[in-house]
Amino acid sequence: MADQDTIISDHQTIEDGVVVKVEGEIDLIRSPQLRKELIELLNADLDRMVIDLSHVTFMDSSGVATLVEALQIQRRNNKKLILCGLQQKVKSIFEISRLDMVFIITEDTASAAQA
Amino acid sequence: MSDRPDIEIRMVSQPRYVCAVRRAIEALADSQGMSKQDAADLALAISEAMTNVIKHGYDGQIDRPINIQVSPINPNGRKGLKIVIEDECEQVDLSQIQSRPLDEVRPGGLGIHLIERIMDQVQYAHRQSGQGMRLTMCKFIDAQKTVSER
Repeated sequence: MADQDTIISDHQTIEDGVVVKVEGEIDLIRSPQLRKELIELLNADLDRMVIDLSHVTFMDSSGVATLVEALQIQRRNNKKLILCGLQQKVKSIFEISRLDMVFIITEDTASAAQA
Repeated sequence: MSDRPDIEIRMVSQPRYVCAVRRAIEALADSQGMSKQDAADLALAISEAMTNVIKHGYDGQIDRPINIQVSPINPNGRKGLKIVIEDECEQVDLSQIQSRPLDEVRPGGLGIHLIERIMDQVQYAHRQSGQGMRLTMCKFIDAQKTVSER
């Protein structure tokens, strides 16, 4: 998989923020690009960022670290970051690292928009 | 088990190659009867271990050797996989290889915790050659899961 591709494949504006769709494997190679794309969006001062991970097939600790950084930025600004649609093999890394208790994680984008 | 592994992969410390190794080991674990989730977790642990070698052991250098050995094991009738990862990194104090407290919510530092939680046995050692580290990990197949999924 190319490492220069765009990680966020789509983003849609919602009432109070944005839903971004992330695709593919998020690992040591691709996490820096994801970080860059998320930071650019977070600079827009969004009340709510929903990250749709339903098309992410693998995530390692570098991917998780990128999402933790995004969460910290949102929290510092008193804004929300919500993860949704995690496949079980991706959800596992959040459970093992107990970050499922830290992030707001929902089933789908519809519930994430209300969370 | 003889000392010779069933599978041996020699690669350079290029991060692009990590995905190929983890996919191969996940497929092997699946073929050995490991549950899909355990095989996926195993692939994550292997990925974290290799990432640690590349990032911390070799400080991001992409042309240093990494050797991965994989063998099916069956101690006391308990099936599983043994994975050995060897490098030529500078040897570190083994007591310093520890996971960080999880109540600190911050980016990074989760790799060792993930490896220790996913794998059933984890042992770090200095290679006898005097150069490099050896990480030996085992993951066993849950017999009940194996039966129910077949």
